[in-house]
Parts: sequence; structure tokens; C-alpha cells
Amino acid sequence: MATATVAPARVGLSERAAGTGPWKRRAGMAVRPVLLGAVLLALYLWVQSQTLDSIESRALDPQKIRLELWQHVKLSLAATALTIAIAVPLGVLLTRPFARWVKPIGLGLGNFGQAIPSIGLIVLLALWLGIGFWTAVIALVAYATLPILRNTIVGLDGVDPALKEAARGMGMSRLAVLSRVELPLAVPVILAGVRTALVLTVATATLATFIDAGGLGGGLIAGIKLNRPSLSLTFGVLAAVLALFADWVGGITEEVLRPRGI
Amino acid sequence: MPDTAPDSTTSQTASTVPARTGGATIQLLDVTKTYPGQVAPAVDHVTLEIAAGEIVVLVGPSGCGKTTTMKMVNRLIEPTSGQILIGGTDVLRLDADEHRRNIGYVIQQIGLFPHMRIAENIALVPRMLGWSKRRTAERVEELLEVVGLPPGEYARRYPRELSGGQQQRVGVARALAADPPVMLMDEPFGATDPITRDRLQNEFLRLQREMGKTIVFVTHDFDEALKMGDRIAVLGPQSVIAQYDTPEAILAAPANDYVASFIGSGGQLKRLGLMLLRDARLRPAPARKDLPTITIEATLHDALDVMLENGRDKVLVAAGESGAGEVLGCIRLDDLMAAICDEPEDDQGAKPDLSVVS
Repeated sequence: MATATVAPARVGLSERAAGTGPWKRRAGMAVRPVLLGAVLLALYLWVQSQTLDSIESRALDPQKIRLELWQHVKLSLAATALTIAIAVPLGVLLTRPFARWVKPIGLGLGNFGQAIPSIGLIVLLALWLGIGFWTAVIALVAYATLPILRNTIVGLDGVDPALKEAARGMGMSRLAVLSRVELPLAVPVILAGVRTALVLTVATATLATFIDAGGLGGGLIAGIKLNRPSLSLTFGVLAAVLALFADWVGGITEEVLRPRGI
Repeated sequence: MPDTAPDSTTSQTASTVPARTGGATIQLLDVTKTYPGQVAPAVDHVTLEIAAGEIVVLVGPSGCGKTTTMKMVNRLIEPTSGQILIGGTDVLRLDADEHRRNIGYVIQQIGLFPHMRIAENIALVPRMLGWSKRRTAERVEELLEVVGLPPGEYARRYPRELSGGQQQRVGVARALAADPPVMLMDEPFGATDPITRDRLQNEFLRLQREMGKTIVFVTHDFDEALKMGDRIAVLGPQSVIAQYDTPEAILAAPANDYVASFIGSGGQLKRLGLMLLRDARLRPAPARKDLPTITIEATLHDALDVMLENGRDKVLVAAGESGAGEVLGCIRLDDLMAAICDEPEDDQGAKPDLSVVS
């Protein structure tokens, strides 16, 4: 299952670029897509070598796979975008001096969202809101909020108080301190949270099929229900490759958006 | 007796002068700060007047409220009661952010923004004040030159690519960027090694001679206070002023045991360290040339040191930074003794009164 690929949240503040130079790091990043391509090629060759019955060949129709893949990507992107839109401002709010006392409550809610089993959350939400795409997105958001919220808080709290004092002391408004000093410096940590959330979301989106929201989970579950391991294997590998690819894209984004100088 | 006309030094404007506005008077009137939830005030009814163009050092033990007192001037801490005037303006009525843009602020941790290049760090306040890009860029270049970091080499670097001493130079340049009349410095050289600190102090004093800013300087190091201060305010608990006077006067006559304990031992030696050979009256040089030599730029303390080192009771004084220039005269152990014993106590303008014996 793809969930095995979930990276632990990286909350360390000062991962210095020192040691491994940018070139070495970039070369390392090129390895991942090549490996993933090789896995997909092997999967393709293996499927080709099999004699497929009618059920299998219907499920493995390229058009159908493309549709499920697209649904999966749509679900994941919509959920991640919505999560960022909710969790980052919430994290900013919870680190303001006037809101410090609500911080444990906010983090508690995030923990709660992640602690309840995702399949239970999806089904319960479907009972309440009905089935479909947006219900699945809401469930995924609830599930992925914690890493982004937590990393936003950790990132902002990790900004050296001396920098905030220097900024205030030279006459920056509170908003300017936030936008020009605190957020840029917290970007690496926030992005690490986004990356974790993205991978979580891609992995968890396989469950969306239970409430008729599509995605790669469809073929995977069908394989289990109809006792066709080749289906489960194919869609499981596809979901895993997609999650690893999302993680790779997240890594590239971190590299590009990391402020220079830190 | 001053031997130069007073206005010859104040009216000159050299091209390297980094500032044009000079300083403004700062007055704290009956200022009190009580933190919420505390009974005892952190700063208790402090009244202090700081003359324009002077460096006033607030010195005292940790937790005495010296930093709180300083931060009330730029309102990073709001006073509970009392008045603060800068150049006669009540700063508590101003918009706090705009007020701070007109006050240079240097802190021990330096606080350069690591994600901004050196030039961007220095340009922050001028840009906030609405200076044009061009004027700001020119100012940044000028300031980097002034603090001894060639702009071509340093402007586009990031702070972490600079040493601690260089970073603090940028910190000072950033505080000076918009040419504020007032600067607040909170243990600015406290985090550097002794050699770098000494160099930064000297450079800053040289700058200040040209700028004439009004500077509030906080330190817990009394020797730094002696070196940097035109005046020193020795603070006791709750920022109560134990003594407020020139370094010479405080060393010569500590107001009470508390101040004396702050000076520690060797107070008279420290006084010698504040007296410059340049200001002393020298005896004519004897014909003998086997005497040790010292530069006229040194202090009487240095002269004593050379005498002890060489086992002589007199030393030749010569021109030039290293004392390699023309011999100007000589000074004797008796003269040092006389300088300590005869100096009038509260006449700050007086030079060591060294009698001339022909």
C-alpha cells in the first residue's frame, strides 16, 4: 500500500545546505523519476505478459485507468490546496500573541482529524453530507490539516525572536514583520508540512472510491472483491508511484521556494 | 584649556561624513514601567536628560532595568507613566512604527535578516520611509564604505557569508541607514571576541566623532562604559540612577559604595586610561636618546605601562600612530601621579594639570 511511503514530518529548522552541495542534491533528485519510470515500465511489461480474462481486461483498459488516475490527481490537488488555504492562515493566527491560548485547542483539533481512522471519517462524512467528490475532499482535508498546521506553527515559532525584535525596532508594522520576515523564514518548514500532507492525501485518496468519488482505489478494491490480484497489484503500484511522484514534486518545490541565504 | 576653537570641529563637513542631521536631545521625565502582574516597577520614576550628540551609557547589573529604560525610548516597551521627549517632541503621541523608523536600533544579536542580501538589509528603513530606489542604493553604498565593507564585494552577499564582526558592522550601517538623530544600542558589541570588540568600538567612536548622534548605549561592562561614554549613568535596581556623570568624574569620585563596587579595583589606573598624552603637557625631551618611546595617541596608562616595562621613570613621547615620528617631549612618573591627584573633581573639560619644569 502507498501509505508505507508517507514521510515523517520534517520539523527541523536549520537543515543547512552545508555538507551536500546544491548540485549533489539536485543530481539526487533526478534519480527518483527515473526509478519510478522503471517501475511503471516493469508493471506494463508484466501486465502484457499475463493472459487477462474479461473482467481484468475491462478494468485494465487504458482509458479507464487514465480516468481513475485523473480523478485521483484532482481529488489530491483539490484537497491539498484547500488544506493549505485553511491550515496556513490558521497556523499564522494561532502563533499571534493574542491567540496563544487557543493554540493547544487548534493543535488538538488537528490531532483529532488525523487520529480517527480515515475510512471511518470518509464513511461518516458521506452519511452526513452525501456521497461524491466534495465529501471526499472534505474528509481528505480533515485528515491532512495537522501536518501543515503543525509545521506552520513550528516554523513561525522557530523564527529567532531577535529577528522579530530587530524588525519591530526598525519600524516594521506587525503585518510587515509577518510577511517580510516570519513567513519567508518559515517557508522551508511549512513546505515540508505541505509535502507530508500531499503524500498523505494521495495515499488516502484511494479510499474515495467507497463513497463513489473515483480514483485509483476503484481498481484496487475491485481486485480484492473479485479475487483478481493482478488488478489490486496494478492499481496499488500506480497509487504508490503517484504518491512517490507527489513527494518528489514536493521536494522540488521546497528546493525552488526555499529562501536563499538560509 | 582647550587649544582649538570650538566651532572649528563642529562646523566642518568632510565628504566622508555619513550623517548630516547630528543628534537630538532625549529627555525621560519621571518615567515608570510596571509590567502587568507585577507589583514592583521594573523602572521606577526615572528622570534623565541626554544632551544632543552625546553617547550616554546605561550601565548596571543584569535585570536592573537598563534595557527596559532604553526600549521605552523607541517604545518597544510602552511606559506606564511619565514623559519621553526627543528634540522636545512627546514621542508617546507619535505613531509607534513611524517613530521607530527615525531611531537607529542595534542589538547584541545583530538581527540581520538571513534571507535578505546585505544591501537589502540596509535598505529596509529608507525604503519604508519612501526614499527612491536610487537614493537608497547610493546611501547603501556610502554606508558600506563607511563601515569598511567595500560594496562591490559585500552588497550582494547574504549575512551568513560574513563573520560576526562584519555582521555587526552591517548592523550598525542598517541602523544608520536613514540618518536618524538618535540611536539605541543594546550591548551591540557584547557577542564578539575581545579583539573584534575593541576594533568595533574604536571604529564606532571614530564614526560618532563625525556624526554627532545622540546615542543611548546599554552595557553591563563598566570598562566598555568608560570607553564609549561621554557620560555614564550607573543604574541600580529598578533603574534608579546611582550616579550620572562623565567617566572621569565617576572614577574620581564615586557617589556611593554601589558605584564604587561597580568600578571595582584599579579605579585610579582606569582614570589614567582615560587621559590622553595628547592632552597632557609634556616636558621638553632630554638629550639622552636611550629612553623608551611612546606615541602621542596613547593614554597615560599606556605611558605608565611602558615605564614599568622598561624600569624607567620617564618616557619619550613621539608623533605618529606607532610613535615613530618626531619626538615631541617627555613625561615622568611624577607627572602621572600629579595627574591623578591634582585633577579638579567636577571640571569635565579640564586636562591633566601637568606642571612644566624647564
